Amino acid sequence: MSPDPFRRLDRIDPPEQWDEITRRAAASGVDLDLGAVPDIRPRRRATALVAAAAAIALVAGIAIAGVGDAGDEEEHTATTTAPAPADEGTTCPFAVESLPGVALDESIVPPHDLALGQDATSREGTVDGRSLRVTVGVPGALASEGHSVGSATVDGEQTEAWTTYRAPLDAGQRPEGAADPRCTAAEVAIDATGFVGSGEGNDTFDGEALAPLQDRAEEILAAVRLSPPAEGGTTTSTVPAEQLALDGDCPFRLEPAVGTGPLRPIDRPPDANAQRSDRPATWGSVTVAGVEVLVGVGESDPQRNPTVGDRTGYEGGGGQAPGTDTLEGSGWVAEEGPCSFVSARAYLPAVARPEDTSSTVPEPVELPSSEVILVSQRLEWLVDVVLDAVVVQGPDQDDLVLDCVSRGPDALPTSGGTRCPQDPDPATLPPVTFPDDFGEAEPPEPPSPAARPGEVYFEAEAWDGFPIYVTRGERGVCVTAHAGSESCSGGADPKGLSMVEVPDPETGEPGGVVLLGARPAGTASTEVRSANGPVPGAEVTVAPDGQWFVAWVPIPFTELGMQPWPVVHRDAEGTEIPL
Amino acid sequence: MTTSPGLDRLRPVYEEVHARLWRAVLAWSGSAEVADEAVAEAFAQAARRGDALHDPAAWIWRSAFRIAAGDLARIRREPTEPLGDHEVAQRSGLAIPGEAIDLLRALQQLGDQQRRAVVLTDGAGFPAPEAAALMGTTAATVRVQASRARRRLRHLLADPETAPQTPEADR
Repeated sequence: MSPDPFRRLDRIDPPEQWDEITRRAAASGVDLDLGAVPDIRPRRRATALVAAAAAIALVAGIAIAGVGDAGDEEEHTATTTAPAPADEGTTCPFAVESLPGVALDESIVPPHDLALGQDATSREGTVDGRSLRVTVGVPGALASEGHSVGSATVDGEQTEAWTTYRAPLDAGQRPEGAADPRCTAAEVAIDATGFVGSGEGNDTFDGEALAPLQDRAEEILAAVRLSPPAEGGTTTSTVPAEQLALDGDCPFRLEPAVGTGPLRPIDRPPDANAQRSDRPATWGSVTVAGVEVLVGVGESDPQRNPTVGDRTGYEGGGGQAPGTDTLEGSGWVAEEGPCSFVSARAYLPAVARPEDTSSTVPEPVELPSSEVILVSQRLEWLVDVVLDAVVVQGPDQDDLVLDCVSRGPDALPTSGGTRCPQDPDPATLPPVTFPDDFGEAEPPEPPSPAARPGEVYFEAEAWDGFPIYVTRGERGVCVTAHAGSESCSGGADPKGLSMVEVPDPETGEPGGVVLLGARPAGTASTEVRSANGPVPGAEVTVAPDGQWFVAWVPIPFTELGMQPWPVVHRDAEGTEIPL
Repeated sequence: MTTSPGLDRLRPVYEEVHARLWRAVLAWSGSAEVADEAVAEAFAQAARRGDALHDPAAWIWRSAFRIAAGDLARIRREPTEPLGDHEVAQRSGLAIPGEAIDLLRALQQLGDQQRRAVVLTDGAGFPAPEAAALMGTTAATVRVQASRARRRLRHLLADPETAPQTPEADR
C-alpha cells in the first residue's frame, strides 16, 4: 500500500454544488433532524499560538541561517558574481558542463520544482528529441538510487511520464579542489511518454521497451561533469562539510534538554518516516521516565502546509514495519529546510522496536483496544514532554526549542533556553509504568469474560472499542465493562435495569453508562430516552434470542436527565409497551 | 432565485471545505450519490441557520456525516448489490480512477467507526482531537480506531483475498 492511499482520492474532482446549495437554501423545505448537532467552536489554539509561532519562526530563522553565515565568514574563497542557485547555503553551486548529445538550456530550474528538493540544482534540456532534466545535489536527497519510473494522470489521461536514474557522482566528475558535499549526487530524468502506461506506478510500463531509455539516462549521468560558475562564484561550500548534510540529514545536532539524560545517536529506525514521507532526518534516542523515546529532526514536507510552531498531533500506528505499534508526535520549527521538522516517537512496550526489517521481526501483537488506549495516553504525555524538551542545536550554538506554544508566548525561553520555564524537569518525572501483563496474549480482566461466573451471553461495545460482556450464570444475567464494574440482574423483569458506569478513557472522569435489562414479550425495538427524547449516541445491542438488551450511553449518568424509565420498548407496530 | 441570508457567509466556507468534505463523505459512504446529497444538504441547512452558527465549517462537517449516515441506513434497508468495480463512477458520471475505487471498496470493509476515524484523520487531515470532536468521541478513541483502520487497509489494499476479516482487535 502506498504511504497515503487517500491521496488517490485527490484526483477525483467533486461536482460543483453551489447552485444546488443555493436552490436548497432558498427552498421552504423542512430541515432534516439536525437539531442535536452541536455547534462547536473551533478547537484550534487562538491568538496565543499565532504570537508564539511568530516568535519561534524568528528563532528558527536565526539559527538555520547561522549555518550559512558562519561559512560565509570563514570559508568563502571567492565572491558570488555570476547567476547562482537560489540557495547559496546548501545548493550545489557548480554548473553542469555540456553533455555529448544533450542540448542543455541555460536556465536553472527553480528549486521548488526539483525532484531532489531544495538541496539541489537542476537544468533542463533535450536528448534524442526528448526532454530531460539533470539535477545535482546532496546524496541524502536521493530517495532511492537506481532507476525509477513515474507518470502523472489527470482525468484518466496521462499528462507526463518519465524514467529517472539516480547515482552518486564520483570525484572525477567534480572539479579539482571542490569536493563539495553539496554536489555529490545526480539524477537524470528523461521524458518517457509512449513507454509508460496511462496508470501511475511502476507496473504500467514495458521494461524491455523502456530499457534503451534507461541506458541512455545512465550514460548521461556518467558523462556529467561539474565546473565552477562562469565569471567567478562560489567554489567552496559555504557550509562546513562536517555540518553540511553529508548524507542528506539535518546538519544540526540534537541535544536533549537538561535532565533528560544522554541522547544516543541511532540510525534511522527501520519503520521511521519523518512525517510520513521518506525524507532525510537525524535520529537520536533518549530514555525518559523509563521509556525509550526516539527523536528525529529532518525536513518538512511542504505538502503538509507546515505552520511553524504547530504540531501534527499524535499518530498511533501499526507502524511502517511489521511488529511495531508506535505513537508519534511531531511539530514544525520552520516552514522548510533540512531541520524544519521534529518528531518524537515511542513504542508500545508490548512489541520491541525492531532492529531491522528482516524476517526476525516478531509478528504484530494484537492488543485489546482498552489497553492500547490507556497506554497510548501515557505515551502521548511522554512524547509531549520530550517534544517540549528537545533542542535542535546549530553550530553557532543558537538553540531551537521546538515550542512552548501550549503554555503561551510568555513561556518562551529568552535565549538559548532548554525548556519552557514552567515545564517539569524531565529528570524528575515519575517513571511510566505499564501493567505487568501488558500485551500478553490473554487480556487482563476486566474486560476478559473468562474469569466471570457463567457463560458469555452476548457482547457489545463502549467508547467504540471497549468490550462490554453480558454473561449468564449463578448470579443471573450480568454486565461487565471497562474498569471492572459489574452489575447483575437476578430476574427477567423488564422494570429492572442494571447499570455500570464507564469512565472516559482519556480523563478518567465519568463518561457514560451501560444499561442492562430484559425486554418484555412482543418487543420489536428498544431505545434509550432522556427527558428530552432519544439520547444521542446511545447504542442498543439486543441478545441473539431477543430477550435481553444492553445499551451504551456515552453521557455521564449525572447529565443524562433520567426519567423513571429511560428505556422504551415498542412492538412491531411502533406502539410503546407499558412496563 | 431567492437567496438565504446565510449564503454570503457560507461562500468562503464552501470554497475552503467543499472538496475535502465531499471526498471524505465519498470515502466514508462509498457512494457519490450519498456524498452529493449529504454535502449539499448540510450546506443548505447551514445557510438557513445563518448567523446562529458559531462555526459553520465544523457544523457542516458533522451534519454532512450525519445526513450521510441516514442515507446509508435507508439504502441498506433496500436490496442492493455490493459495490461494484465501477459502480461509483457509473452512478455519478464521475471519472474515478481504478486505484481510488479500490480504496473505496476497501474502506467499505471496515467498521463504521474505523472508517470514519481514518477518513477524517488520514483522508481529510484532521488532527485526532478535531476528528474526535466531529465524531462525538474522544481523541484516544479516534487514534485507536484510525490505527486499526490503517492496519486493515494495508492488508486489504495489498491483498484483498488474504485480508483478515474484522479481527477482534479491529473492532
